[in-house]
Amino acid sequence: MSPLFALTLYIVFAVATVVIMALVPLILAPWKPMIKKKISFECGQTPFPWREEAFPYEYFPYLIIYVAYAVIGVVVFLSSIVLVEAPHLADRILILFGSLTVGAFFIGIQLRELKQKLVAGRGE
Amino acid sequence: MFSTIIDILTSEEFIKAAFFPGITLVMLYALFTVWYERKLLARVALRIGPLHVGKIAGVFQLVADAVKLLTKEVIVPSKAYKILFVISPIIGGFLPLLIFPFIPFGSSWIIYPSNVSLLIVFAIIAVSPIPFLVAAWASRSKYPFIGMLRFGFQLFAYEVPLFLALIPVVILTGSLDLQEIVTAQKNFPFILILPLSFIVFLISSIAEVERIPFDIPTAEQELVAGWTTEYSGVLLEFIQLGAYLKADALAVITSILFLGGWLGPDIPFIPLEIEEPFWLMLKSLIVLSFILFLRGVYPRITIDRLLDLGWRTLIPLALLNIFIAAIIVVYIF
Repeated sequence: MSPLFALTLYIVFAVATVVIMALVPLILAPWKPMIKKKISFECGQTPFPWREEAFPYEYFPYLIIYVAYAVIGVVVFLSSIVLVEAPHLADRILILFGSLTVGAFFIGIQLRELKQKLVAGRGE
Repeated sequence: MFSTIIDILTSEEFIKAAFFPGITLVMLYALFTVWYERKLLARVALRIGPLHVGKIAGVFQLVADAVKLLTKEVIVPSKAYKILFVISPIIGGFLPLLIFPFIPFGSSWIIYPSNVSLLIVFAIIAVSPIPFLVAAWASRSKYPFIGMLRFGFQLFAYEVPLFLALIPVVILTGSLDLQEIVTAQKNFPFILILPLSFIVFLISSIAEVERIPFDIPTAEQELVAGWTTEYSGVLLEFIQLGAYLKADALAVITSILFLGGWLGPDIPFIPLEIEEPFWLMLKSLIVLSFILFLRGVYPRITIDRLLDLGWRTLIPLALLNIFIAAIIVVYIF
């Protein structure tokens, strides 16, 4: 028997645990459906009908920055692997890490000025 | 046939998968965490905490709560996307269970040793919030919707530093194997040479599991229960199970990456097979206590400060620490 067998057993046990937990209410829980129960929560107020309206929300520009930082994260990770596997390239990787560090601090200072709320196409 | 079954039941693999460090330990650890949090926070607030159910320190209060949630009617709001509303929390409770087979609890206590266990663990951690985001979206209600947006922003802001904080450890050890990472800390734990990484990792972990002061997505006073508002019964239990399992996993991983894992002073007359898990669990408990303790002493921070901390402070600090680790490896080791 191998570790793969142990992993398979563990996954079987985990799935069984989750399935049993999910099935227990079907046997033990009451089933008394009412319209009131199925209405979305409204903090004790009478629920109002569904309506759609504009929902201004801040901080979306950070999502754009996330894309950049996610790529940088992958680059840094791969560079660290290169640093381990090919030590003769250490100088270049150190320059890369140094540049990214300085750049990240610069961006950190500049981000304070970033407009985070977009209203009718202009930043606030 | 009968002897084959006996062989399987008495095999090392079965014991590891079923008991230690398998499903029994994982579920008991999650239950213990809930009880421990209540007791700890009660002490912080000069209360006693669970007491009456169960003879010793209210230990069966958890069983009572679990039975209550399991026997409550599952209510699916009429406006919700019904299939996603039901399936998402179940998957969200299941995914963190998959982290534990790759975490070593001692030099021989691991279900599936892998030379890329660190990557596997963090791949699962990165994927695990997605079912909860889907669950919030499937609720089709305003409190879960606002909670979901906050949850998304928080995840985006803290997953990058969480990942970046690992890289110095990889650079120092030259390995992605959690067992080798512990062995590399034989002389000193990495917290001594990578204190910045430890702090960044710990703060990002707390944000990742939405613990106070980073519980903005489920802020009770503002959003009722945030993205979990429409959930009750067993589905809520799955959500809580997922959250506590992830907190437990991150506490253990923090101990492995920065606190020397299972390495500790020898205890006389205790075999290594017991001593190693003991030290790891003790260290994890200390980390877990810190994570839980914050709930008792800190207020929730506002979303602008939360995002500022993630994007403007933790990421540059994590990159600085990678640079420092690279210099240590190139010029000192």
